[in-house]
Amino acid sequence: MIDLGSRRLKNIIKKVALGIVYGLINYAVYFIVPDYVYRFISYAVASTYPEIASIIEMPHPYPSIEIVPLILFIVLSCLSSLLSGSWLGYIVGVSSSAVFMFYAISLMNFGKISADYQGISITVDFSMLIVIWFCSYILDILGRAFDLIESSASFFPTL
Amino acid sequence: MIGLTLKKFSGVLLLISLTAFFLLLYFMANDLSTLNVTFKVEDLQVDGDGVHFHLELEFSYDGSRDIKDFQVKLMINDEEFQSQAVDLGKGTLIIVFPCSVDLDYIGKNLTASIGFSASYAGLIPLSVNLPARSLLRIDVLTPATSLSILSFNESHVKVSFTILPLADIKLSGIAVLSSKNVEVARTRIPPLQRRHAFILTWYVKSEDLEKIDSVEIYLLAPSGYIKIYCWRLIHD
Repeated sequence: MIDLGSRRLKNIIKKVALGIVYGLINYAVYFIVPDYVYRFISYAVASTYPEIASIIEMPHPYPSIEIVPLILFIVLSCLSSLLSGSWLGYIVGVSSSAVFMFYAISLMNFGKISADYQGISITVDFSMLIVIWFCSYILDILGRAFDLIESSASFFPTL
Repeated sequence: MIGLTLKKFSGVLLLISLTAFFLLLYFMANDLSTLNVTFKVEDLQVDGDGVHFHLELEFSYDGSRDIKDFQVKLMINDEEFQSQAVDLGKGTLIIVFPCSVDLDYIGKNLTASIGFSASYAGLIPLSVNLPARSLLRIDVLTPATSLSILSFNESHVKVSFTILPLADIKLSGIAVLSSKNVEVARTRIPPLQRRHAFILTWYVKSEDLEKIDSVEIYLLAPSGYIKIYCWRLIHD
C-alpha cells in the first residue's frame, strides 16, 4: 500500500525536477541562443566591412552564466511545472514565457542591429525573424491550450 | 491531438526559419562584399551660378541574389540627393545625380558622404552609411601644352600656352603671367566649349621673361574675378 502523502511528495519532487530542467532549457533558449543569434548576425553584417569586424564581440566558446536570470528562469519554470495540467498553470506558464520572450527580444535589440566604426554605419533589420518567432510562440501557446481543452483540465492543479 | 500538432508545427516553423535566416545572412555578407562603386563626372558646365555636372555612380555587383529597393543617398555640402529605389542584379548599375557646387570647387576635391538602403533578396532590410570622403577632383581646364616662347620684336617675346577645357565654360576670364604674385601680362579668355583647345597668348618684355614664375587663370563671376588655377613654371 502506497502512502498518499509520500506519493504526493514524489509527484511534487518530480514536478520541481522537471521545472528545473525546463528552467535550464528556457534559459538556454531565451537567454543564450538570442545572445548568440545577435552576435552571429552582427558578425555576418560586419564581415561586409572588415574594419567593423574587429570591433564586434565574438561569442565565447562557452556561454557565461548569469545567476539572477538563471534563478528567475528556474523559479518561474518550477512554478509552471507545479501548476501544470491546470488552467492556472497555463496562465502562469504563458505569462512567464511572455516575460522570457520579451527579455529575449530585448536582448536582440528588438530586431535591429547597428554597427558604427569611424563614420561607417551599418543597420540591419531582422525583425522578420522576431515576427516568425512570435508566430511560433503563439502556435505553441495555442497548442498548450488545446492540450488542456482535450484533457478537460480543471482551473486548479491536483498534485 | 490538435494541441500536439500545433506544438510540433511551432517547433518546425522556428527551426526552418532560423536555418533559412542564418543561411541568408551568410549569403548576404558574401554578396555585399562584391558591391563596388566608382565615381565619374559628366556634362560639366560652368556659369555664374556655379559648376553644374552629372555625378555618375557606377555600382558593380556580383552577388548571387538581387538587392531589392536599392536606393542611394548622396550628401554634398549639406545638400542631400536621393535616387529612386531600383533592383540591383548581377552586373552594373549607373545612378546619375545632377549636382551643382560653387565656383570655389574648381580644381579642388569634391567631398561627399554616400549611403544606401536596400533589402537583401527582398527579405532583409539594411542600410549602410559611409563617412564623407573625397570622391574626385573637379577640373574644368587642363594644360594641353607647355609654354612656348617666340621672339616677337626686339623688345618683346610672344608667350603662348594651350589649354583644353573639360567643361562648357560660359564665363569669360583672364589668364595672367605673374612674377612673385605680381602681374606681368594678362590676356582675355572668352567663354569656352568643352574639348575645344584654346591658345592663350601674351606679349611680354624680353627682360621680364626670366622673372615669370606662374600662370594664373581667373574666371569673371558675378561677384568678381575668381582664381581657379595657378600653375607654377619651372625654367630650364
